[in-house]
Amino acid sequence: MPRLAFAVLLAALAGAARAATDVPEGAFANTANDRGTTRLEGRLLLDHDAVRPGEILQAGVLLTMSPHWHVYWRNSGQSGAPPRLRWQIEGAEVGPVAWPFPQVFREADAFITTYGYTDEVLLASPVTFRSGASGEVTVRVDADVLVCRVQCIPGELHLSRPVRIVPGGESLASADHARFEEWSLRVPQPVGARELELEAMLSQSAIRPGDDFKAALAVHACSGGGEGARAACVAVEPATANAEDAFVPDPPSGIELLVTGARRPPTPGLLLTLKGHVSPSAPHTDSRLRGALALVSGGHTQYVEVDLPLPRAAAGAAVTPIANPWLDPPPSAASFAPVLPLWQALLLALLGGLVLNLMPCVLPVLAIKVFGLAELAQHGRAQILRHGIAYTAGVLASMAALAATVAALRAAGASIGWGFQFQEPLFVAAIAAVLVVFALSLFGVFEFRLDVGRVATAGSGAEGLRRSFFEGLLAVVLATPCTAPFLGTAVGFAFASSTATIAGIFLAIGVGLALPFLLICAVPSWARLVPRSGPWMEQLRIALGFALLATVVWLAWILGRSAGSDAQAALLAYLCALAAGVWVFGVLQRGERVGAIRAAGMALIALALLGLRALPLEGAPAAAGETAGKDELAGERFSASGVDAALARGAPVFVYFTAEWCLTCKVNEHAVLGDQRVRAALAQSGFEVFKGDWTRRDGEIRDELARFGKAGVPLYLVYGPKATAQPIVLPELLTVDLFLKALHQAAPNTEEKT
Amino acid sequence: MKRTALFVAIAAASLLGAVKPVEVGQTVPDFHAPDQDGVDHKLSQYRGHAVVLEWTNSGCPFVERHYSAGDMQKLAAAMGAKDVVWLAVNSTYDNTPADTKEWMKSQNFSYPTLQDPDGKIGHLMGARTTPHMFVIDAKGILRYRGAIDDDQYGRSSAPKNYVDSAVHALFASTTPDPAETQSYGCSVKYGTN
Repeated sequence: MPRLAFAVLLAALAGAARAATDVPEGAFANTANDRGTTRLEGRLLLDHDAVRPGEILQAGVLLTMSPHWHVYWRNSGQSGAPPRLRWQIEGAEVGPVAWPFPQVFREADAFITTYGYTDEVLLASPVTFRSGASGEVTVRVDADVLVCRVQCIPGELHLSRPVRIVPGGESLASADHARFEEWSLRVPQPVGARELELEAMLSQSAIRPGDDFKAALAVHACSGGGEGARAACVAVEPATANAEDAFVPDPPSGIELLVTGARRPPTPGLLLTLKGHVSPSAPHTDSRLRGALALVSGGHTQYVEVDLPLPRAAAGAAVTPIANPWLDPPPSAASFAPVLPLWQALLLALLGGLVLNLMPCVLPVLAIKVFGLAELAQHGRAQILRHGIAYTAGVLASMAALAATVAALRAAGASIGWGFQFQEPLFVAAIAAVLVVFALSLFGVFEFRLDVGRVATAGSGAEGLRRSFFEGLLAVVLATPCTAPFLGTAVGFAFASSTATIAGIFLAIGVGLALPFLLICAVPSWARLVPRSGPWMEQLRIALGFALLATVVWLAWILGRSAGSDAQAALLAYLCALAAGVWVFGVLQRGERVGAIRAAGMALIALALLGLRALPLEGAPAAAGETAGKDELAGERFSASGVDAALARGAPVFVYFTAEWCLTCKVNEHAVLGDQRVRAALAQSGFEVFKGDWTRRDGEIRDELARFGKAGVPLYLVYGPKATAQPIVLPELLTVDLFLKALHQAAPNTEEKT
Repeated sequence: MKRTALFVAIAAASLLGAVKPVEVGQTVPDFHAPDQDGVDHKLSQYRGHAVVLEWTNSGCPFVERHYSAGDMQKLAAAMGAKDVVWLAVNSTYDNTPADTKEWMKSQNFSYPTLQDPDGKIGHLMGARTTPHMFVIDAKGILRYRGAIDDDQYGRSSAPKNYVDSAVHALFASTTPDPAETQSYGCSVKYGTN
C-alpha cells in the first residue's frame, strides 16, 4: 500500500510539472477576468515542431481553469455554451475538434444538466498542410470560451505560434507530443474497432415534432452465441463514478435528450435509459442518436462514440408505440453500486479490518491478547513475535476458510452475505459453547492442555502458540457480525466478484484485523507500552471471562429470536452441562494421571460435539409480535414493491436493514433510531418506515443489499422528494445529527434541529 | 428568519422540480408575481395580448451583452409598439427588488421585472438560462421557447432574432419557425441547499 501511495504521489507531481508547460510568446494568454483574477488560461500546443506537407499535425488549445470553474463540451447541455475555436493557418486543412469525454454537472437539483470539463482540457484538431507549403508558417487560433462556476464569464483567446513545414525533410515531434497522445485516449472512438455491441431502443417506431419519448441505449460485450450456443459475454461497467453519467448525449438540434438512469440488462452489459422531447418545429428527416460513452470492459477503460439511427416522422404521422419495460429508469433507486477498483476495495478491506478491532464483538478478544502479552513480557522478543505470527496465522486461516465457504456456497447457488453464518442456529450454538469454555479457562477452572505437569508460564511453548492461533480464529468468528465502516463496501465488492477477489478481500480484512496485535508484538517500542505483569492480571483475566460470558448472553438471545425460546433453553442447558464437564476435566487436570486427563479430555470433546448435534434448534421462531422489541422503530416489513408504492404515493421513505446478530445494527437502533428527536422527525415528515430483518436468510433483502454494493447489514436508506431516484445511503455507524441531516436533505420540511 | 425563508424556498423548489415544464403548444398555467415595485402581475390579465417573457439576471455577462448593446430594450420597445406585453423575470435566488431597480435605471428601461427568487415561475416555464425567451400568444398558448437569437458568441454582424420572428409569425397567423431553440447563456441561479 505505501508503494501505491507513493506511485499516486509521483503521478500527481508529474501532473503538476506538466501543467507548467512553456510555450512561446503569443501562444499563452489569460482571459475571463473575474474582478481582477483571470479564470481561464489558454495555451496553443502543437504535437510537432516540424512537419511535412500531407502529414497530420495536431494543433490544440490547452484550457486551464481555476479550481471549481468549468468549460463546456460540444453539447453544453441545458445551459452554457461550447468553446468555439477558429483556426487560421495558411495553406492547411483543419479537421474537427476531438472532444475528450466530458463530466456531467447538475445544477439547481438537477433542473439544469450541463456537460463539460474542470481543471484542464486539451481541444485538439488535426491540421494537414497542402503540398506547396514550406518554411515557417504561423498557426493562429481565436477562441471564444465560456467559463463558469456559479457565474459565467465569456473568455476570448487569440493565440499563435510558428511551425516549420519541411517538404522532403524529417518531421520532428514536439515536447508536447505525449500530452496529445494522453488526451487522445480520452476521445471517444467509433465502435467499429471494439468488440462492443450498441443498440438504441425507442418507445415508438419513429419520433415526431412535439413528441415526448423514452429511449434506451444498450451496451453488450458478447461474442459468439447463436442457436444453442451461449454467447461469451464479458461484463461492461460504467467508467464514471455515477453510472448514469457514463453516457453523455449529443442529440440533433431540436431534440432534448437526458439520461434518466442506468440499469443492468438481462445479459451482461449496461443499459442507459433516456427521455427526450422533440421541438414542434424540429425537422423530421431521419437523424442519428449521438453521444459519448465511458465504459470499463475487460479490465480497461474505453471511450466510445455512439452513432445510431434515430428514426423521425412528420408531425401527425402514424407511429407504432413500442412497449418496452427496459426504457424506464430503474424502479426505486440506482441499480448500480459504484464501481470500485480492486486496489481501493483491498485498501477499504484492510481499513475495515483495522476498525473491526474497535467493534464491541472483537474488543474482548483483543483485550485478552494484549493481556496475554503482559504475561509474555518476561520472554524474549522472538517468543513474543512468534505469538503475533501465530495469532495472525489464525486470523488469516479462518478468513481463508470463510472465503472458501462463501465461494462454495455461492457456487451452490445459496443466497448468502456477510455474517451469513449467524443465520445458522447451529453455528450460533457452537460459538456460544466455545466462548463458555474459553471463559472457564480464563476463570482458571482448567487449562488448555492434555499433558501432565504445569506449564511454567502460560504462553510459552507450543501450547501457547496454538492458543494464540486459536484466539486468531475466535477474533474472526466474533468479528463477522460487526460490519465495520469501510467493510460493507469492500465485502459487497467481494461478494459480487470472482473467487480470487473474494479470497483477496477476505485476506486483506484479516491482515487489517491482525495488524494492531502483530505490530505490538513486532515493534519493540510498542511492546513496551504493554503494562507490566502483576497480581492485577489475575483479576483482569477473570473480568475478561465475564465479558465473554456477556457475549454468550447475546448469542443466546439471537438464538432465541431465530429459533424460539425452547431452543434457547436447550442451548442454556447444554452450556450448563458443558461447563460442568469442563469443571470435572479441570479437577482431573490437577491430578497427575496422564491417561485419565487424556481420556477425560477426549470424552468431553466428543460429548460436547454430540450434545451440540442433538440440540433441538429448528424450533419455531418467536411470533412476530414477540420479536418486535419495545424500543424498536416500528416499520412495515421490507419489500421492494412496498417501497416503490410508498414512493409513488409521494411519501418520504426510510428503509433500514438489520439482523439480531448484528451488533452494529443494534447499537444504531438503540442510540439513534430510538432517539426521541429521530422519532419525532420521522413522524412529523410522514416518513414511511420499512424494516428489512436479515436475521434469517432472505433473498429479496440480499438482492437489495447487493444493489447498494453491500453484502451485509446494516444498511440505511432515506428516500424523499429530493432523493427519489437515488436514496441517501447513510454510513454504517449512525449519529443522531447525521440522521436528522439526511432526513432533512431528503425531505426538506423535516426540521433539522429540534 | 432568513434561514426559514431559504428553507421554504428549497422546499418549494424541490416540489416544483417535479412539475414538468410547459411545452410549446400547451396553454401556460396562470401564474402571478410582484414586479420590482411590488405591483402584482397575473399572466391571465394579459389575455388578448401576446406576451414575451425574458429570463434575466443582471450579473450574467450574456444578459449584460444584450443590454449594453441596447438590443433587448430596442426589441422590447418595438414589441410594445405592437401591443405586445414584455415581462422580464428574475429567478436569481438572491436578487432583490432594489437590485432590479438599480439595474433598470442603469440600463434605461421601464418594463416590469417579475420577482421570482423562489424559482416558481422559472420551474413552471422550464427557464434554464439567462437570457431564456418565451413567446405566449393572445390565447395564453406557449408558441416559442429558446434563445434570444442565433448569435451565442456575440460575433455575428446580422444575428437572427428568434423572438422577433416568432412574434411576427403570430401576427401573420402562422406557426413560429423555429418554435423551439436551444437557449444559451448562464444557467439560472436557482436557490439550492
